[in-house]
Amino acid sequence: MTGKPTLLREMITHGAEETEQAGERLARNLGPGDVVALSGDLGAGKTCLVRGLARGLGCRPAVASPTFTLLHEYPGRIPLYHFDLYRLKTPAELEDLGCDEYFYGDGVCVLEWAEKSGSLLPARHWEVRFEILGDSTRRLRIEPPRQKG
Amino acid sequence: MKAMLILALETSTPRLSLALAQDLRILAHSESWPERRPAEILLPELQKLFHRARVRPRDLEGVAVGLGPGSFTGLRVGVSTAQGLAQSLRIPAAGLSSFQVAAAGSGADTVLVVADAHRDLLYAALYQRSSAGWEARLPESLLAPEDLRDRLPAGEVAVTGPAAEAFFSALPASARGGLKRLPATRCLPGAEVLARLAEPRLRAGGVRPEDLQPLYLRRTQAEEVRARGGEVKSSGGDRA
Repeated sequence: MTGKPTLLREMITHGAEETEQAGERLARNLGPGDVVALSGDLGAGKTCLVRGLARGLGCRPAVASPTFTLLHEYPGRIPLYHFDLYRLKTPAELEDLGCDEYFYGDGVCVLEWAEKSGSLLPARHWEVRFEILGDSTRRLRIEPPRQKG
Repeated sequence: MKAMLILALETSTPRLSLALAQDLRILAHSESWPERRPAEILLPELQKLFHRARVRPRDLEGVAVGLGPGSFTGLRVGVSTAQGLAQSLRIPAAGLSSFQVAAAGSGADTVLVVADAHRDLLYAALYQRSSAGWEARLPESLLAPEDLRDRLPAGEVAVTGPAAEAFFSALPASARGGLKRLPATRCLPGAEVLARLAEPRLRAGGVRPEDLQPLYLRRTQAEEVRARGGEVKSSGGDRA
């Protein structure tokens, strides 16, 4: 009954609520140590998806990380760590903040602007790409991890 | 020689290890596996330790800390706690490589220490016991397992450290050569050994608190160095 739902690799969502539901579904395929990289334009629905992930993982509302302004933590049975790397200048800056303890830690990490993390992004990661099709319609492409490690 | 009361903190691995020692005698020690961040339990654990040893923090005459390499958060918490105590009590501090501590606790003479650095890389060091103490034949480095294999000496080498089991198991039997696996219980650096190793340094005056620096071996830095064709060695440390 609580088994993993079929993973949809590609879908069209109509509005924020559907994008959030997509996040909720994706969350059921995720566990501790999983990293999800999001890409898409501003307003494409990345934040909605993160909200859905948090809901799907059974997390409580986000709290700003006390030590890490790039990070919001959603505490829960499987915590969700939401990184927004927009303001990150160099990958070294991320490393100096101890990112590995999140990436290889007890929860799920979701990254916006993941490309800014350079080689620090674990090789084994999920990708979700957003494409704006219309005012409220979006195409989401979900790519599961291709490799181990 | 006057007895010296030393606190030792080893926070570089998922196991938090603390010891109070006087004259190389362990008054109290504790080992715990915090489920959450080490920062949340270090101070309460210290309080219990002082209570069990029936001494007060203000009685301390030296503080020793393991500098890693290892857990980023653990090292920050351990080093800053050691700095805070040394500074406020005006007592000497000493920082030692956690890998040297692991080597010294192994019971062997030639010791390879390995820890997981993720993304198929290892932190590693090779220590040799000598009449003068422990000598690093390979200083703390960040490298790929296959590169480490090429650097191992002939002869018997004991493997220890948090990733000992994983490193050993991943080697094909033909590549194991003189490598000897130690029981898992002897693979993590412990505060009792740290206290013993640090004592002579603390008696000699130690270092200033601000000179205690975790041994961070950063991947991003390693890539820059490698791009220039160089090797990655540890930086930081206790600049005694």
